[in-house]
Amino acid sequence: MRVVDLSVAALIGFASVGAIAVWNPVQLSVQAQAYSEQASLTDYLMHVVSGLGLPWLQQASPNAICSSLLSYSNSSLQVSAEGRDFVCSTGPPAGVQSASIVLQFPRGNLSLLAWRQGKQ
Amino acid sequence: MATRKAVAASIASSIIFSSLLVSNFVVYSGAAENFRLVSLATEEQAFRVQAALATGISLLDLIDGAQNLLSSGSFACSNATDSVAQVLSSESVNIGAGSLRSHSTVTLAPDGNSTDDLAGLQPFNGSVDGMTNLEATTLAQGAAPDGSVSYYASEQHFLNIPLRLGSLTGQCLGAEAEFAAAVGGLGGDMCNSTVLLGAASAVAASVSRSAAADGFVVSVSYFVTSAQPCRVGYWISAQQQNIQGPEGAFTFTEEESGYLEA
Repeated sequence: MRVVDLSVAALIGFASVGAIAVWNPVQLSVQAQAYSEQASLTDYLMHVVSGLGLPWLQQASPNAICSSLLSYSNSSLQVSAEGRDFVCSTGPPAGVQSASIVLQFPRGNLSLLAWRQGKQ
Repeated sequence: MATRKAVAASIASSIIFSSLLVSNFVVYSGAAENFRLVSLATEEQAFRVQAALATGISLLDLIDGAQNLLSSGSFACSNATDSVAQVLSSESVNIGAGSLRSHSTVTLAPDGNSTDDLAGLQPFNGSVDGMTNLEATTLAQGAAPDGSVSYYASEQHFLNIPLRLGSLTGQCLGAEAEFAAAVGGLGGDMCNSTVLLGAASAVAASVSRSAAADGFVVSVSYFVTSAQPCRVGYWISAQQQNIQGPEGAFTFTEEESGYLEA
């Protein structure tokens, strides 16, 4: 009887802990936070586009684009670009959450990337 | 007694774990709803961003196209505005970005000042009094593959190209009128090369000076086509040079030609 009782109690315990692990609200919150972070990075990239201007981004040389993006980067947030035949020297480190937007210019696409420094 | 205690412990553990489960479910439901809303907002933002970029790039393409059309030939001074309007109305741009499609067209806008909230197209956004202003209509639509978000936006934007079309046309037509008045007024002496040269040179120098003061280049050429009856042909060229378009600097040219008979 005692063994049965212990087994039932253990079963209830394991089932409950398993259910809590499966329906883990923290994981959802982390994902939601990641989406919010991505939205915030995308908004920042739009701010960069507005500041530099599409006509300028279309005409500017890779060097000019890369050095202008440095002024939009700071200790916590980095911005970089990738064009048809160039990549700015810095890119998001592996595992870091980043956001990108693609500008489809007739001469070729220009991708702008943003990520938080030191945030996995 | 021991059995009762064991059953009581089992019931107590059931109650405790059930409470935990219910509490977890309540928190999980809240988190799931928050996640759903954040996902929708993120997807909606992605459409908004794509639409804004597609609109911006479409309008930039339209200005690029307008620059190419305006710089590729010359326009008659007498109907330059109508010709420019006609040429521009042939322009349209289609862009596909992800599941979003946008279609943009442009027309010549009336003179006047108006700001435009479309950021990122400076210095070509908004209309500026005296410049060549364009009114662009953009239709953007799309939907997420799962149908959770759909996007539709019809927008009108004002753009400008720093070409002073009206002023240039005024200079060209003014030069023509001045030449006709000066040379036509010579009457029978029109084909006297010395008299013609004097009158025509004075007009050419005068209109050229006046145009230069306004930032234009206007030149007047003339030639005697027949002496009997006396007939003088003229050709006027009016240019605005170094117009800063999105594709770099370009020149817009208007021309007018005709004959004067004594």
